[in-house]
Amino acid sequence: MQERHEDEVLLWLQFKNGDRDAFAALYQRFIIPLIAYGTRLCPDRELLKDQIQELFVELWNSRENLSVPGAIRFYLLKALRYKLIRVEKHRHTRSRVDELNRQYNHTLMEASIETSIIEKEAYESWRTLLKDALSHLTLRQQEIIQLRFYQGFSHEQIAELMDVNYQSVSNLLHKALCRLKEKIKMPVFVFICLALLLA
Amino acid sequence: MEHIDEKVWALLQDDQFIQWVQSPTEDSTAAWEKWMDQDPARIALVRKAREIARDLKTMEDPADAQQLSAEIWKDLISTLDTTPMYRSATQSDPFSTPASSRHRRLWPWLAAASLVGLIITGVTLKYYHPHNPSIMQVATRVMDQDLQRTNQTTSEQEVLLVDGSKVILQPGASIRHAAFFQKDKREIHLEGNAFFEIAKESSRPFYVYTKDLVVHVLGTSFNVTTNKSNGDVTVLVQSGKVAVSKLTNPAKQQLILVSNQQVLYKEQTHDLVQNTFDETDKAYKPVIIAPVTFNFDEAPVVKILQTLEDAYGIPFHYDKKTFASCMVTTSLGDETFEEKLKIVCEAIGATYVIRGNEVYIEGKPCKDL
Repeated sequence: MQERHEDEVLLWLQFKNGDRDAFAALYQRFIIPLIAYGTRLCPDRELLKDQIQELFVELWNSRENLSVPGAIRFYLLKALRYKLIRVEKHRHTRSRVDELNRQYNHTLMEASIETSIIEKEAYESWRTLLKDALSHLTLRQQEIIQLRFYQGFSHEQIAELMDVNYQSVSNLLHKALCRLKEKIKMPVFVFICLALLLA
Repeated sequence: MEHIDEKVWALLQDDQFIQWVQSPTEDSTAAWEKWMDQDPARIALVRKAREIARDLKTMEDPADAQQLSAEIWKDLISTLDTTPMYRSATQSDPFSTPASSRHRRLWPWLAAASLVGLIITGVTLKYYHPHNPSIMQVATRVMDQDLQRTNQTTSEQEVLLVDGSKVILQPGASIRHAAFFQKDKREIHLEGNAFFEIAKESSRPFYVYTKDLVVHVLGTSFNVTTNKSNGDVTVLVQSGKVAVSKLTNPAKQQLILVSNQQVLYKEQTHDLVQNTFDETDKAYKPVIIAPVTFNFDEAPVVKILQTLEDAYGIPFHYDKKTFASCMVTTSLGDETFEEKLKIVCEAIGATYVIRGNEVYIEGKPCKDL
C-alpha cells in the first residue's frame, strides 16, 4: 500500500478546521481498509457498522483537539481496534461461541465444495484452498496475516497496534504462516490418499 | 494441485522479504537479486512467494465493502446533520453528484481488488522486467463495431481495456476488440507479440484469438509470441491459468497451462506441444505491470478526457468549448473504464452515455467562483 503522505496530512488539517469535504475525502480514503480490518476483529456486521460510524462521529466532534497522526490509516485502525475491544468486553461470551460455530459450519461447507471444485479443476480451487486454510487459523492469527500482508504494517507497527511486544508479533506471525502451510498441505495429502484408494 | 516448496514458506516467514515485496528500494532489490544470482532455482521460489503474498493481500477485501461503506456513510451523515457545527460547514457527500463548481477535489473510490499482479514501481530489476507505461502512442481505428489498436512505434506500448485489463503491445503488434466487449464474454484478436494481464471477471470469460489458436483465460498474466520465420506461436503463462486450443478443433485438444508452463504451436504440423518453461532462462523476464496512475492537479478536464481516450482507444464526443473552463484534481488508478468516467463526469457535473463503441458527454460549463 502506497502512502501518499502529504496530501493525507493536508486533508487531516483541513478536516480539523471543520472542512466537510476533507472529512468526506478522509472517509473515502480509509473506509475500505477499516472495514477489512474491522471484519477480522468483529464478525458481527451490524455492530461493526455501528462502531465505525461512531468512530467517525467521535472524530468529527473532537476534531479540534486531535493531534496530527504520523500515519493516518494506522491511527484509525488502532482507534477502531480499541473501540471494538471495549465493546467486546461488554458482550456475552455466547457471541464468541456463535462465532466458533459459524466457523465450524463454514469449514464443513468449504470441504464439500472443495471436492467438487477439485473435480472440475477450476482456477478458483487454489484461492478456495487458500481461503479455507485461512479460516482454520485463530482469529488473532488471521488478524496478524491481514495486518502484515494487506495493511502492510511492519512488526513494530503491528506490535503497537495489537498492544503486544515485538517478539510476540514475530511469534504469532510465524505460527500463523506455519498453520497456513499445514492446512494447505493437508488437502493434497488427502487427495493423494483418495487417489491411492481409488486406483 | 501444485506442490509448494518448503523454501517458499521460509521466504514468507522472512520479514525482510515481505518488506521488499511491499516496498522495494534500490538497496533491497539489489540484495535480493544478488541472492537469486547465487542459485537460479531461487528465482522460481521468489516468484511463487510473491504470488502467495499477493494472494494473501487480495483475499482481504470483503466482497460487500463498497456496499457497507455506503450504508455507514448514510447513517453517519444523518447523525452528524443533527450537529449544528456540521450543518454549518460546507456541503459534501461522496456518494451523490454535487453541483458543479470551478474547483472540484475528488478522491477516487478505492476500487475493489480485481487485478492480480504485484507492484514494483520505479526500481530497475534484473529478474523482473520493469514496465513504465507509455500509453499515448498506440494508433486506434474504429472498424465496424470494433477498435483496432496498433503499436506503430519501435518500443512496447501499454494499452488499457475497459474491464481493468492491460495489454503490452510489442512494436508492430495489434489487437482488435469491441470497445466494451460482449455481455457474456470478452474477446480480443491479436496479431503479433503481446503480454496480457487480465482482470478477473468470472461472469465474463476472456478469450484471446490469434490466427490459429484461442487462449481461454481465467484471471492471469501471460505472453504470446509468434516466431516470424516459421510462424510458430508460443503461449507462456506467467501467473494464473489458461486453456489453449486450436481454433479449428477446440474440443479435441485443450491444453491447460499454469504458471511457468508454455505451449508451442507448430505452424507446419498444426501441433500443440506443451513444455515447461526453463525458469533459469534469463532471456525471458517476467513482466510486472505497475498499477495505472493518472494524477491530475487542477488539470483542464479536456486534457483528462483526451488522456482517457488515448489510453482506452475509445472515441469521446463532447463540446470542448463547454468544458473549457473546468479544472479537475483527481487521481485515477486501476478502476474500470466506466468508474473512471463516472469520477470525471461527477467532478464537472456532466453525464455520459455509451453508444456502440463511443462515449458521449453532455453538461454545462463550469461556473467561475
